[in-house]
Order: sequence, then structure tokens, then C-alpha cells
Amino acid sequence: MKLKLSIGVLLIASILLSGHTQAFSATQSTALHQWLVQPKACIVQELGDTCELTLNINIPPLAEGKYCYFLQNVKLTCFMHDRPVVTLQVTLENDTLLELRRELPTELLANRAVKRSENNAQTESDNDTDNTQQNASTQNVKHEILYSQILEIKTRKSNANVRRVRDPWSLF
Amino acid sequence: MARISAVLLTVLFTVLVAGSLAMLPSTAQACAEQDQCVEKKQINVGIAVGLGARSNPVEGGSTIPQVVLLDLAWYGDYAYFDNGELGIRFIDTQDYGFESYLTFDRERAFFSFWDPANIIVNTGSIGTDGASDGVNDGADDEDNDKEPSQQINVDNIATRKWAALLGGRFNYYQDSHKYSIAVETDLSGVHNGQRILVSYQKSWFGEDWRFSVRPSLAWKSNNLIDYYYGLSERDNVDTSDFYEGKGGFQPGISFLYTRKLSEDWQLISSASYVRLNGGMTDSPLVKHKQVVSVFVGAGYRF
Repeated sequence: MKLKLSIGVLLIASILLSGHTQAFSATQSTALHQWLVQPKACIVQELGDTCELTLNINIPPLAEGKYCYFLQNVKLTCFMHDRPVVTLQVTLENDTLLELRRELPTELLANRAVKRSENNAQTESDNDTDNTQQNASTQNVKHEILYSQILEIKTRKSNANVRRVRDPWSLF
Repeated sequence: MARISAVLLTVLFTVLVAGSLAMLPSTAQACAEQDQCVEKKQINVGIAVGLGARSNPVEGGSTIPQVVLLDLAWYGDYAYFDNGELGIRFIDTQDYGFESYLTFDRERAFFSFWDPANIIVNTGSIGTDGASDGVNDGADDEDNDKEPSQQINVDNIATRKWAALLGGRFNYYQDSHKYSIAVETDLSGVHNGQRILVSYQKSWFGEDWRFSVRPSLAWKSNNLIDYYYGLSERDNVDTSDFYEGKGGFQPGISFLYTRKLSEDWQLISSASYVRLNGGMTDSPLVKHKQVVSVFVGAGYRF
């Protein structure tokens, strides 16, 4: 009787565990194909303190081309699609935007210019088909933003300070 | 006497009611003075160790050594606890504030060595309320113009109880100046007395230091003085030593100097002087006309 009960418990545990493992594998697999930046926040003692972060970045498969990281619109480093940079050293003082941009080839830019003029002739409302990925090259047409992440600064001390009604060191 | 008490109670009640009515979402004021500010909803603890003492004006009471200072404060949006004072801040703006609070009567500190007020010096306020008393306890004290009685002694008179006080305080801030008026009344029925404390504080700030001077004037009621310093049948003394304490004014001044030594450590030094009123010092139980206090030490903030 006891043996049967033990086997039953083991069976249930195995089923639950395998299900959990499968779910975990699926999650991990999905995560590997997502844009993911870790850590996303940096904790400082007080607002205004600088913070150095080593970012670990998970990049989805990239199309052929050259890509660059931008930190608050300042270029950090570039790489080719087959040699992605997945670790970045950054220094922050405020909430900062990290972006992965793709450098657009010259012929692609030319094609887009032609396409844009054709579209404008047909209809005003039918705009660029790449609108799903915000085109950051309105001013600088050499890059388009693929992915972005806000890196937050969090303070250990909140600014909710209050003036004491008694002097310090005045217990009793 | 009863009339004065009634007037005081009326004033206190009016002040409290006015404060309650003004309990609006007060504008949170920026707290720029680091030494005076604490973070909301955090327990702020500091402990200082040093050398200090204060005199005990009561007959038979010896100079009280003070070697430890505690600093304990917690502030919520309205409620607060700050060094023995539990209160509610009804108004807190950049320029002024009003709070109502419960505290205990520090007068009792002279009658019991292990009263918390005896091991922990108050560097911020003055008076015989245990806040800042003195080291001037020598037998050759020039103010000691009364012959100590053999019978009258703090150890052989009736026990003086502690009293719970209800208070209201209005503060006005102007740059480095602070003006305060506090009215307190006995809530516990121990002595049914009152106290009013008016003070002005001027502070100077350096990059890592602060120096404050605080002159003040305390008024204490007949009931308060008589309960602690009067002598009657309860004290089992000769009828010729019976004395009825009388209220009056007690002027004083205190000094506080703090200097930051590191992120967590600071130097703390304080001194104060209070002149006692005649209605108190005329009592056979009181041997000095003033209370002096000094403390120098190093404080650590957790």
C-alpha cells in the first residue's frame, strides 16, 4: 500500500517537473530571440551620483549589415551582423536611452527616396512602410532604430525629506 | 491660580482646534539643512558617546553624568515621533509649522537618576525640563545660600511621578532663524500644571558644521512647580519646612555645535544655562538657582 502511494507521488512529481522544465525551456528559447538588456536600472546613493553599468545584451538574429549602439543619441560602438557586441560598459547620471540602430546602405537610402516620392504622388496618407520601426534618420538618414531600452537611475535615498520639529540629538 | 489655568487651557484648546482645522494637504517644504532633515517613513537612529554632566538643583541630588546621547526620529506624512515626542504635524510649510504632541514632563528627571532624561542630554532645548541642565553642583556654589536640611532630601521625600503632557507648538522659520512657542498642559492629572516655552534660535552653517544659539523663556505654572518642589504632609517633613511652590519665568540660553567628521560620524558639543524662578528656588528642596549642562562627544548615525 505504502509502495503504491510512493510510486504515485513520484509519478505526479515527475509529470509536474517535466511540464515545468518544458515551460522553462520554451521561455528560455523565446528569451534568446528577444531584445533584452540586463540590468535595466542602476541604483545610486543620491540623485546626481554617477553609475557605471556593464550591460549584457541579447540581440535577436540580425539581417546582414552594420549595426551601432547609441546612448542618448551618442554613438558608442558598431559591429557587423555576424559579430555582435553583447556587452557594453556605460556610465549614467540620469535615465538614459540605449538604442540599437542599423546603418542603412547607400542604395537602400536611394531606393527609399524614390519610393517616397512615388508614394507622395499617389497619396499623402500612405507613408513609409517601415513605420513599425521608428525611423530615427529624419535628420540623420544613415541609421534606423531597431531596438531601444531606457536605462533607469534609482536613488537609495528618496527626496521625501522632512524638517524635524525638534533639534537632532535632543531625546528627552 | 485656577483662572490662569483655565485661560491656559483655553489658549491650548484654541490653538489645537485651529491647527486641526488647518489640517490641509500642506505644501511639502524642501528641507535644505541636512542636519535638521530626515527621510520620511524611515527610522532615523543616532547614538553619541562622550563626556557631559548636568547639575541637579534638588537637595540631595548629585551631579548627573551624561555619557550617552540618543537621537531617534520617525516622520510619516503627518504623524511623527521625535526624541520622546509623539505628535501630529498639522501644518508644515516653508515658512511655518504647527504640531500637536504628547510628551512626558522632564521635570521629574531630577528625582530619579535612572530617568531617561538623566542619561540622555537634550542639546536642543533648555529649561529645568531635563533638557539642558548643568554641572554646577559644587558645595561652594555661591548661589547655595541655604543651609542644606538634614531631613529634606530627594531620597526621603514622597515620590514625584512623571506626568504626560499634551502640547501644541507653532514654529516660524525665516532663513536661519527659528521662532517657536509651545504650550503644554498635564494630561495625566499628576500635577494639573502648564508650561509655555518661547524660544528663538539662530543657526550658522558651514560646509560641514553648524552652530546654534537658542535663548528662551519658559513659564511654569504654580501647580507644576508646587507638585515637584513644594513640601507638604506627603513628604513626611517638619511642618516648619512646608513650602508651597510658585510658578514663574525661567530664562535660559543654549548652544549647540556639530561638525561632520565623516559620512556617519559627527562631533557634538552643547552647553546650556537656565535661571530658575524664585518660587522654585525658595523651596527648602531646591539648593541651586540655576541649572547648567555641558556635553562633548562623537555621534554615529545609522
